[in-house]
Amino acid sequence: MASFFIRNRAFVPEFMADPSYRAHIRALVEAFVVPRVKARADAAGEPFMPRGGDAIQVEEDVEGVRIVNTDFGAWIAEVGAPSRNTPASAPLRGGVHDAGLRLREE
Amino acid sequence: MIADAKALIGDYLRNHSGLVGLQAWVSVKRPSRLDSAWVKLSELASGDRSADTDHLVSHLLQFDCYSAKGEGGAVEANLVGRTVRAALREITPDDVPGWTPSVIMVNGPRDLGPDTNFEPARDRTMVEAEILLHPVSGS
Repeated sequence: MASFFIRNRAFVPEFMADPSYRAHIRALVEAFVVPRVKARADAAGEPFMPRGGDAIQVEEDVEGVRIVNTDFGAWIAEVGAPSRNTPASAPLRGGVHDAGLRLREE
Repeated sequence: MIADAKALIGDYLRNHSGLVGLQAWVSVKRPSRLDSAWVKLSELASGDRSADTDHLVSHLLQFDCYSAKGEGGAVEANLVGRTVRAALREITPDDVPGWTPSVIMVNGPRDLGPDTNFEPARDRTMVEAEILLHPVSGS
């Protein structure tokens, strides 16, 4: 029997671009992930080289919602400078992990 | 009690044929001698994924892979990073006594450029991995 179901291949991008979906994701990120990222950044003594304003910010672009560390020294905090007794505090990766989320393979 | 992931994974890598073949050190701190390639192992985070029973704990680990060479060490640092990645992909329950490992994410090696805190500067790549460790029944 012929099927009348026509798969909408654009569903996922359309859904992800929906403003209400974005707003929901942003609210979840701000409620559950950002506090954990900030706690790690504070514990590490960030910002090391402040850019001004709050170092940890939430931004949106065409691809989705992002947590951004605007500290000029963010890279040092994230991966560490081991030989200078600055271990990786990984506020972004650690905060995502602490929130129970999974980092994706690239 | 949850696993000491740094000790368990460090022991596994230390005895892995690939890293033994490269004569690479595996350590949680800067080695005393810098005449061999080395891997510095850090645990970035660990968290329970089993509804407050500590039965399934996720460990987020970072492996900084250094070349021993001051000049032209990028190839060696990259090789050490790729060897660490391959070793993590091959891990089996027999490699981690008492625990069942599941490697659910490996990223890298990523080139971090020369670490100028050493004299001479040493090339460095980074591998990160998320590994679930849960105790074998009865242990």
